[in-house]
Amino acid sequence: MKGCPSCYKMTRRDWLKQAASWTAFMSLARTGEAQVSVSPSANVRGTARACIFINLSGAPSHLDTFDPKDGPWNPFDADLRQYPGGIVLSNTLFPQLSKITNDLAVLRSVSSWEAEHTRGQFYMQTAHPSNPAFVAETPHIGAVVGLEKSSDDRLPPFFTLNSFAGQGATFLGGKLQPMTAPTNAGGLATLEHSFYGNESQTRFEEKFKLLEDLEGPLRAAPFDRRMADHSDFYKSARQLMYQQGISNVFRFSSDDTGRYGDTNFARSVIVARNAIQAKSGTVFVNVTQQGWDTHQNMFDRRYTPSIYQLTNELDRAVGALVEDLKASGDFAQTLIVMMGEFGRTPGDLNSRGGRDHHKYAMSVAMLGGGVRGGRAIGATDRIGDRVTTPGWSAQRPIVMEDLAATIYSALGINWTKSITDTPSGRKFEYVPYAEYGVYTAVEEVFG
Amino acid sequence: MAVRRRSEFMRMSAFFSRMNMNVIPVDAFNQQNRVIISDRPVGSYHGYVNSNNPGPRPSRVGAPYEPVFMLTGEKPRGGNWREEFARMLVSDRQFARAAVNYLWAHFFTVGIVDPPDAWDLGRINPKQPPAAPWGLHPTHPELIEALADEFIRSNYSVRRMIRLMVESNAYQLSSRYPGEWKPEFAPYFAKHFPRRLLAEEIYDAVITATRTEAPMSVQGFDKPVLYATQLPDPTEPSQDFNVRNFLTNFGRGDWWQLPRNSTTTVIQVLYFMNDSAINNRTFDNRGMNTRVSTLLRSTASDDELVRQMFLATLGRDPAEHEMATVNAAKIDDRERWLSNLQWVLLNKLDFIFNY
Repeated sequence: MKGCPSCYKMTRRDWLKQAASWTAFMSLARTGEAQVSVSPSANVRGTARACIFINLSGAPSHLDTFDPKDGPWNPFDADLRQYPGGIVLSNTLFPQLSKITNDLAVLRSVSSWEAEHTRGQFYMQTAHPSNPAFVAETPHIGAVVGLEKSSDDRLPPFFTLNSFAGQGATFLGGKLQPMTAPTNAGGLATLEHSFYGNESQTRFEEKFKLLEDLEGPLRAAPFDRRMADHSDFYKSARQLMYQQGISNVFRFSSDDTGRYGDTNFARSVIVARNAIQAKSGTVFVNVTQQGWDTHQNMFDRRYTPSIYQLTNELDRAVGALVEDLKASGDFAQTLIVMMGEFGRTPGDLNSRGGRDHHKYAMSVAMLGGGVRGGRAIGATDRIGDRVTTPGWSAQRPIVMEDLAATIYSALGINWTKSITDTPSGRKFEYVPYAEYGVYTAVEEVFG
Repeated sequence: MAVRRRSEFMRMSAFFSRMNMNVIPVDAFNQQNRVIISDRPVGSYHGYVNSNNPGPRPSRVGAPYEPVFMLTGEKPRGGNWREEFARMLVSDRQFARAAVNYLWAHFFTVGIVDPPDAWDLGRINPKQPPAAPWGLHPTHPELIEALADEFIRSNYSVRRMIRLMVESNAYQLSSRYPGEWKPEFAPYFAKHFPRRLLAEEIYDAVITATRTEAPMSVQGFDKPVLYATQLPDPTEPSQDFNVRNFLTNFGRGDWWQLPRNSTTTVIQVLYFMNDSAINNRTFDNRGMNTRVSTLLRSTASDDELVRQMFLATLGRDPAEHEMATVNAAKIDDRERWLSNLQWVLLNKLDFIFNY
């Protein structure tokens, strides 16, 4: 590893050794001392009010999304073009994003710790490694954001749309659990009680009042925390009902689907837009796009999903999203992140016309919320195998911990914080080892 | 497990290297699959990389791998490696411990080792306790061993273990602790820990309370079933989208990639209050002969009707103050009154929690 500048095969242990406070950290770890510490030098940006995190589930090929290279593996219609700041994009795959590269920051020197979906997804959702001993106390980043930022109680702070199989709020509690709303054009039918025609709301209030009266003693003295949470949900649910502003979040028109697309993913992006624009307490929306695990037939248009289909779906929805957020004046304060759990094998395609898992290099795209666009940060080698140029101050590949710090920073959250009053008493750090400066926000994203 | 090498895991995988899996759709929409498993008499595990699949990958050395059971070092005696694996797995004492622990976790909400799928095998022997500050992983190591012994002695009878557990004093403790509860008491199972019902249990409780059981046909069964807990597969009931939707909404999962999730969400509460799947069962529906319909047509007194409704939905008599509250809200329109009451009782905390 030493003496090989182009080989960034650093292990976690190497990084820790390079941390200035390695000895201090080790002594704290040995004595098990649990203290909430905050690093005074953490530069928290606070440029974004909310975040839309687009989870490209399955791990997209970086060579066929944000880090394309000239090579014989490209299809004949790749049409790669150079943009200011070093950004390279395929005009065939990303026609909309190609028009707004001035808003786009592409991080090409990212590396993943994992090469397997479940572990990779866990790392991406929480910025912590998946450890069965600690899973119950490792919340989703969205729940932490909700804890820090949500003040308006009308909408849940953390949404997750288009299928969610992942971490929730864990010990942070019921209010920070993600709301997973279905996305149909008619909106969320259960926001109203509708069985009695015009009399419906009256009947509902009548029933709800009896429920509150009868439930009073049990709500005042629930058997345990889970029961208390469940009863809190009745209050939250009631607050969501019969409010035009809230039900509009879940409604959209055929104009919308005409522009964003009419797939589950596209509809979820529309609801994400609505939730952000409503400014009613939602500060983190995780939207998942499935299908990126392209081990075969990537460029076969007859195969579902092909790269063409996946990038088209993403490009169209995000293009429309950016347009709408700009029109409503929300773009500058909404951080949009697009990433998957790891990259895919570089250079030539595999024997089935696809790419397989590859953790050493991957790409992440960011827009809005204080991101200084028109820039590509870092670079990989000729075939996209390893990071050759980190492109940022820490002089090493960017990892999920750094990305989480960047997201927290944009949202005005000090990423070096930790929580000590967890059920087990074990300290939960927002970003592991952050207070020792081992991982840090990628300042280059902002300026 | 942390000291295990990758080659040991590969040798464990090798037990399945002679297996054929044929996935066949059984319905017209390719939503339901049946898997036919068979075994080849020869073959072994050659690892993943072959010359037809190029690309920079970590190399796999040491192939072909012959099967070796990781926990004991045992090799298969015969040619059907899958059968041998099953024999070795079940013979291992950890199988008995894990099985009884899963049963315990179901009935007592918390396992003696919790979570039940994360045993630390280095910390379970009371005769060889780990170095301080680590403690033994099971909260009751002797009990786990005794339960495992009983499971083996009964020839692995799940029925026997269930009977043993639910007939115990421990199981019959109340969810209310007589006195001031301290968190330190939790490892002693000094009270019953309430849990929200599972998706299937919620569905079954709703249909039983409202008397709206409906037969569901199941692929491969000659008779339909009434209860969600009888469904063998998360694609069932394949003919009834509403029931599948209900079960999915309450976190049944798909038993494969989407794990079961029994934590309440606000969407679930909205569903319980406002979805037709619940509300239709609270009306006077003579066609379905719902609980409300049956009670309306009886000649019992109003108080008796309230009592019957409480018994059917919450499994208990109404308390005095509850009877008073319900009577205070009585309306002349009896259908409206009873239907409201049914809705209220279904939405009560003590309906959806096992305590």
